[in-house]
Amino acid sequence: MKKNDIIQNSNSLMKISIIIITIMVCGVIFAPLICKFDPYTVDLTKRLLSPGTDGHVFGTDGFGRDLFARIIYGGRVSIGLSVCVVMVNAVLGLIIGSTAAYVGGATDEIVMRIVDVLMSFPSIILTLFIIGVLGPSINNMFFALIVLGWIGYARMARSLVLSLKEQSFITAARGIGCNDARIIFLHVIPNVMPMIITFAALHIGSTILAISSLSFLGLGVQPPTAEWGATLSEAKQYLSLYPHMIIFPGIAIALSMFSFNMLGDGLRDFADPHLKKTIKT
Amino acid sequence: MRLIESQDLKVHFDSPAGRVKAVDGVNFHIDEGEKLVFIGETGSGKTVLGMTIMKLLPTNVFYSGQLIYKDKELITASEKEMQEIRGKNIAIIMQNPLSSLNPCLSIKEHLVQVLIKHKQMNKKEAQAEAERILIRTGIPENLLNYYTHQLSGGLRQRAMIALGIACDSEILIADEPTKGLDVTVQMQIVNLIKRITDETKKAMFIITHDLGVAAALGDRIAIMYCGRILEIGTAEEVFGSPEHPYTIGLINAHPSRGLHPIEGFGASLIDIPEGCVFSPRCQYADELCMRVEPPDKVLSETHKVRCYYASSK
Repeated sequence: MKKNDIIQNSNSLMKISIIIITIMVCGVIFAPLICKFDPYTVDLTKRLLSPGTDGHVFGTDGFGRDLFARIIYGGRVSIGLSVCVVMVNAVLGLIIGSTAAYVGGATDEIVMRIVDVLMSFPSIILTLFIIGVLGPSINNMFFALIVLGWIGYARMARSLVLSLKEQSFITAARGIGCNDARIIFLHVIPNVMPMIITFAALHIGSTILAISSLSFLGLGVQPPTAEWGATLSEAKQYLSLYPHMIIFPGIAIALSMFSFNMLGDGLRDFADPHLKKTIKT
Repeated sequence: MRLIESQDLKVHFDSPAGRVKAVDGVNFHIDEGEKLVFIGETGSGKTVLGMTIMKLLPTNVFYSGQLIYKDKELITASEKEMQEIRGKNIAIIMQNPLSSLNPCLSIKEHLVQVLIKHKQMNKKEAQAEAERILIRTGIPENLLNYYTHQLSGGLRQRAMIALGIACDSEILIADEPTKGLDVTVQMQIVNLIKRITDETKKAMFIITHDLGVAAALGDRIAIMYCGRILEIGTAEEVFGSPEHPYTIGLINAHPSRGLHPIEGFGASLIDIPEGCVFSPRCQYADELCMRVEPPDKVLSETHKVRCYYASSK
């Protein structure tokens, strides 16, 4: 009974998070229809308006640009970029990790030692180093996030495939005459995907945060491009007098992280085939 | 017609603890439509023997001797040749159905995949055929799309049997088909296997440690111990007039005969006893038994016993 309650609960949290994510994604896609103002039009006569005045729902920033429009357009960069980063990482990690595990031997050793070497770097320092060398820009940040991002997926895919490889249903599949390709696509990947997808959903949240922090530090998205972290960074000089400028992008980051984390948690329950039935009832 | 014949078949593994001689010099044959049952304690090499026929053993294995399927030598067959044989000519019902079925596929989907692969059916035909086979093994029609974890042990075993018979293979290997089932379900499964093999005249290679199952299913019985066949013969010969002390011990250990256990433990497959492998536990063993391994004593055309004193006790 108690277990059921927990599942029911997490399920409703997941529903909320799916609703929030849907709204965000729709808002980001249909941004030009939603926003009355252009996020890049500077109007110095309307600087630092508080929320609600003159049709600016979230007010304006130090250059008189509409904050609501900047957050919506900023979401395009934050959410879009992090989804891309996660997708590239997941596919890369899945391919590298599962190949290493399936082939085994020297290939496995080499790949895993590379992973170990990359793991031993503190991720933030390596990211800062790459951006520092290549120069701050969206492309370089994208690259820096991929250099370290695939490692987690590769390790995860490898360990999953290694344990799957020894399962007797894989032997049974060979016993009915399956070849390697068939075993990988029919028996291995479907059993690995739920965990990878769950991990990816959780990873989107942290990637949004990473992109925002790098942009906040001036290492990622460059002004005047609208992005949540960059918007926060621009707002920090008005912190004491016009706190609305920092509150709204902050809420956007927190809300998106919360929803993706909750989505990941919910997916984890679904990913476990033994819980499937309990969730349905 | 002779389907499978083995000559001095040996299957060894390399392990850190030493060479594991799981199967050590086994001779047997299976004819068309015949059911051969292998009985033995845990660790006597029965399962390894079954997996050897399918060549499904890990990579640290060493084969020697002969294992011939029709005209084909299986020991030297390549993985690609084996892929053609597996499922189509020789099928296996693996032990432990829960872990031998993919948790991501429904039981019907398992069968559909086999049928598409081996019978070149399209998806629709395969689905109809899969339903027919599953219903034939006694799975209720409304459970066909269930996943393994949603089914009971008996139903899982039925699904495994359905997979085994899906391709009308000539030989079906059943590795402990009644393991972990309660007695009433065991009986149902035994009857199911009996019915299906009677209908299809399939040859079977059954591995079990349940004498009741062996007596109900087997045409011929082989008693395995320590990677060797100690006694082989028809069911009447082995159960009616057992000659090897180990066979007699096994029969006396059955609850209906008073549950008298055989003293001692099964020998380690790494450190095999000198002389007759059963001599350390045998009450009749003498100095000769401890020193030299006895040859197979032929008692009749079908009945062979590996004991010096067979038919003299």
